Amino acid sequence: MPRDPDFSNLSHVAVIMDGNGRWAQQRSHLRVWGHIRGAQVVSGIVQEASDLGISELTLYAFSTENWARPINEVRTLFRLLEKFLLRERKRLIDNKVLFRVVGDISVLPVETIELINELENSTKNNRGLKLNFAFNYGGRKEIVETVNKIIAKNEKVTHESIRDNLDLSEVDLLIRTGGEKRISNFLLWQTAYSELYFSSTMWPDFTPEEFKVIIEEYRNRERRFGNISRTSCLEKSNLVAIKNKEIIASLRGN
Amino acid sequence: MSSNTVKRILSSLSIFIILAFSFYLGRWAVLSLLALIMILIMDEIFRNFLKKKRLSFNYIFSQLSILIPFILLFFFQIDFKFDIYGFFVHWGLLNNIFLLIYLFLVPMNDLTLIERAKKRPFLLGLFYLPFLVCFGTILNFEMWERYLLALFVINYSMDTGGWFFGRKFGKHKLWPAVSPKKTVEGLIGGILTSACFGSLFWNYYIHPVNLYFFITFAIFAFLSQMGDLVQSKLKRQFGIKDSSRMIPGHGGLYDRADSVIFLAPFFVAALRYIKGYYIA
Repeated sequence: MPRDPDFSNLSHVAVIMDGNGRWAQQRSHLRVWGHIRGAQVVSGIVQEASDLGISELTLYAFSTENWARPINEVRTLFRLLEKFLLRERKRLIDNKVLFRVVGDISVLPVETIELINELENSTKNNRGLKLNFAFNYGGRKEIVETVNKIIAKNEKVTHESIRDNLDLSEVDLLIRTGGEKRISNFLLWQTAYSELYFSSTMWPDFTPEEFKVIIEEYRNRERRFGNISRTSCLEKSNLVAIKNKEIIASLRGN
Repeated sequence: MSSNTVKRILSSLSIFIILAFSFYLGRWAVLSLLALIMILIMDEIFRNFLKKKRLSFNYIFSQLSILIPFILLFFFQIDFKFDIYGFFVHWGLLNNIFLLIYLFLVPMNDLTLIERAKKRPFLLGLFYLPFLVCFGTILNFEMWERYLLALFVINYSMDTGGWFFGRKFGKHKLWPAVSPKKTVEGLIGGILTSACFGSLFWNYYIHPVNLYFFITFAIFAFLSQMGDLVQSKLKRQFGIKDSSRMIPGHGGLYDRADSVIFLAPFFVAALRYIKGYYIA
């Protein structure tokens, strides 16, 4: 079978930035210290993703479940988002990054919300890397909200309508640092056919070099989408499936 | 009850109330209390061990060399690109190894170190700094209240168990030259008491334990007693009985805190390096 020419096309990478608190505690630091260090790692990874020609990067910053953490930690995470935005604002605009925050940001301080809106507005026409921050985000919540949106529009709920109404596109590669092997309610719909990569590196120790190695590893993986050989995307696999279904149906008809 | 016993009980009660109140106020209160206790202990060492004045270079330098790093590390959260707490824990362990060597290998009548300490006492602050940082390190853990209490339980059960078993069954003197009242039976009883109470506390408040935990707590108890002996030896060599008369019925703060100060680096090292000890 001929090799699919665009199998290595990596458009959407999602990262669960886990292990900050544990990284800090292993060094007898306060948990929040790990988040501060972790926030410093982010910009290097964003840069590397942009350099590697990835078109979309989604970072899981705070989940709807993270509210259960100690109040100090929650506050620090909120503050870190604001600090990150203030620090990286110019660079994001200069690098033509299309910045977006997904999830319910209404809980954030008003100034942070304004900052996010302002940054989203000033980068919305950029055609560089799409950078998404998942903040106060939950995968199930997103699916429910999307379905409700479709119902409100009086459309039929189908795979396609859900896909088209979701904020984020299909994920090709999901990376989770920190050694845990879970999805933790992140992009449930979009990761149905993603490749998963679990790194035992704690997020503050994560480097652009390791990110690059993971991308290389991904490019050597064989994605089949239910097919028996390499297939570039789910749609191609679906086309074959539809054709096969028709053949079987016509055979039964005889 | 003799008036001394009443005094002892009242003092213990007040110490307990002060500790409980600072625990209730939170991490910053406990950190401040620890720093205050360290200042008072340094004061006892300078005033009563070394017989130095408060208004002297040595005294002020020592106090500042403890206070400034402690405040920078724990109140200002100064950033270091290397494992700064690991550095202090190792430093504390080195100090302890030095103290153990001193306890076992230096003869009682060899006062070389005492004379040196009297000559250059400004270095004492730097000697005690890692111990204080080790305590602060415990407070960086998410469950710091429990870990700190576990440390106190292990230490306190050793003292109390040792006292109880020594009085009931004590026949063989442990090391009369260093500490005339301590007995082998008291040491063994104290170690067992401490390992039992330590395991119980750990089991209910931190993590289910197994035999390894019991053995580790027994080693902690033993080390805490060694810390006691080191201080007894030093006090004897300095020719004093109590570090001060600050706590009625008990003596000085340093008399109460010596073994727990000695134990702290070992305890933190276990939390950091023994698998299964620290729970995120």
